[in-house]
Amino acid sequence: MSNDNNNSLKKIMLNGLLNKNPILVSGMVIAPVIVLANNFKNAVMLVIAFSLITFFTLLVSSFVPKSIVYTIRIILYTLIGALVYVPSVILLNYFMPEGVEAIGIFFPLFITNSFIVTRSESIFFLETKGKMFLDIVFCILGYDAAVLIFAALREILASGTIGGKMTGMPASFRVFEHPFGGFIMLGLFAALFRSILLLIKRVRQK
Amino acid sequence: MDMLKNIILTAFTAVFAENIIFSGALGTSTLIIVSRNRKNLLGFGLSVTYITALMSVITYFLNKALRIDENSYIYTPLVYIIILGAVYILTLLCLWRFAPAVFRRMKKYIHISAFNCAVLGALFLISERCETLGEYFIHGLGIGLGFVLAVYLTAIVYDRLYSEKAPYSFRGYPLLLIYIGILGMAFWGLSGHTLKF
Amino acid sequence: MELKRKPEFNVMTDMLIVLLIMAVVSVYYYGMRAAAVIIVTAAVSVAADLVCLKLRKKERDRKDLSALLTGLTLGLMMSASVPYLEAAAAAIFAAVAAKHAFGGHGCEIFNPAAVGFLFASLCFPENMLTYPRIFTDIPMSSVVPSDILTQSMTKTFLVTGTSSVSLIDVLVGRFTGPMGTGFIIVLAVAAVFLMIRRSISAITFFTELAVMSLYAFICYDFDPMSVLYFFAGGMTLFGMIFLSCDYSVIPKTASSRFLYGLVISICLIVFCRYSATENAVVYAVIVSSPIGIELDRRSLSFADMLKKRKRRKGKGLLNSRNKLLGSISETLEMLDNDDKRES
Repeated sequence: MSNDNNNSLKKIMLNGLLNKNPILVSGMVIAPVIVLANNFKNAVMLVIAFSLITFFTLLVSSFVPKSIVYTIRIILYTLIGALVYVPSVILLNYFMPEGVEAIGIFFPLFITNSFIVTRSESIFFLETKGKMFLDIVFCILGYDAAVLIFAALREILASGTIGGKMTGMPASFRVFEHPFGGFIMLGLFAALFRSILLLIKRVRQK
Repeated sequence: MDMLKNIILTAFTAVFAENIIFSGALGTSTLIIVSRNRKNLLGFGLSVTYITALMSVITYFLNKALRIDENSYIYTPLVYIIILGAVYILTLLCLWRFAPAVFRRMKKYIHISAFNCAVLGALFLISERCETLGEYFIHGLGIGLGFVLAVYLTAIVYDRLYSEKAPYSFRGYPLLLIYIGILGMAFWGLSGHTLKF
Repeated sequence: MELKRKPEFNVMTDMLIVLLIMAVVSVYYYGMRAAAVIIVTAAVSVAADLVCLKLRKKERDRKDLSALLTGLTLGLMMSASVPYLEAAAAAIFAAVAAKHAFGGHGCEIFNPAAVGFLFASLCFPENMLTYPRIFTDIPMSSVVPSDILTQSMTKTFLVTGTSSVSLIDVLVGRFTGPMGTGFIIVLAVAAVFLMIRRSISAITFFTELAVMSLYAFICYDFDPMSVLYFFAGGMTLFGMIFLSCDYSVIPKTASSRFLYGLVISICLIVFCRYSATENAVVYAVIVSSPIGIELDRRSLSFADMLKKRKRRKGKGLLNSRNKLLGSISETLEMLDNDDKRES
């Protein structure tokens, strides 16, 4: 029994972090990453805001009963998100006002992110609250890790710096600072991630 | 004449130069879902344009009231969501009451076109950029159309992006991002300029 | 009514010959620095192609010259003073993101050379869009001192509306600009040669030429010099031949090729009017590529639709609109039949 539990635990962990990584595999909540995560500083702020809003919204959303009509349920999720936004923005504005300014309109946009809708719907398929809790945490962690690594790489490529310090790159590709550069870079990054996963799978099979 | 020029310019900017997907990336997740099926395009396009246009007009009046309070940014999203929800339910009810046939066909598009980053993001963008009621409306309409344009451009090459010929690590989602990025590069050529007549 | 094509290898060798001639001209104008840039883009393009094929575990097709063609086209579009690393970056980007990500040769959505050029010109605008004067001694070092560089003739023309370049100089490409794209006489001869050899699409080319000339004449008050500036500068004619009529991305039926040419010219006009960007043709080609794919899918139904319409309304009132539709459909039908016969 405990072995079974361990296995499913591992599966949830790996799903969130790797196999079903929200940003690299499923393509959820990519807008702020593409527009804003062109330097490490913004990415840190983005990750904090995303984790705060998504975690608490999903936590509260899990109490929404399934018997409510789908239409109303969707509105309820977003409403909860908007309510969670109020304390989050006050809190973050108190501690790091410049950060909140830097992410601008993308902070309130986390309310309607596709991650909240899909996760809160899929929660119904998981048996226990504990598993659901773990699932959310690892998905958010997977998202955060991917965004931070992506932003660091993007900053190195786009401006030759990391966290504002020079790295001595021979050329900087300014395209990657723009949203369209973000699209291309995220596409390349996701392809790289997928081929690495494939490689790991092959090595394991051998 | 001047007014017509302004209208065309605003609409052109909103649809092409500052396209919500290619230069704002808002609603990309929705685009990925919708572009899967080419048949849905018309219904989806109509409903998303309708929602952004209507909401932008409502936002104009809302902003007038909200801007009095300095701290309104804290609850602005909440107000937007409530109004959006109300518009959504009212639309569904109206359709259900007066045109049940249309209601049955459009039902599934309406929820995906009302609650996504593109619509809410459009409202924030419009509030930042526009001043008069006319601008609000045209910009809202343009953003909706621009979103539909982006979905259309993705849907027409959908089978190429997901074809067997593309290498496995690129197939699908990564390739879609690269495709949007390359188109975005081309559309970038339009931004930051003004139309000559 | 899919047109049967000439063997791809022959098309490619034709293109290769023309591109090599253009390369010789640019070496004559800009010296060994131009040759170095072209060699770098061509070599890197081929090498990147080989590496991508290796990574994808695909066999190399000996008759596939597409990588070389992309490299040469890309090289000719560059400034003769561009740093080598940046030229190489453009070639690598073209091979990876525009070609092999989409599945390699034959599956591209965009023309790889156009994408590579756009990428480089957005990454390094100050190096890509400033040009040395013709017949100046350009040092072979990677970074060229900026005092010998100026903006292109096109940029001056766009900003001031006039240019001091004389007629002869425009015709033989003796003006500052991308190194291989200005020699309008050679380009015109090349276009005719390629069309006679059926290596580029004549339908698309002439549609573009007609619409763009009409636009240029109206826009520049029927001043023939300005029209020449329009076609020679900003790589317009070069782009029409090598980027838009190139068989790798063009639709397959005659009617859709006609519409494709129309779409490209409209996009080009919009880009010209709306933004003061040089090289509007590159942007226009990229934006209209996906529409070309859609046209291909719908081309047959489009011709059929017009035919049906004509039949339905033919017996009743024959108003002018119906006549027009009828004549268009007949022309399209004729074109399609022509191509069928030839193939």
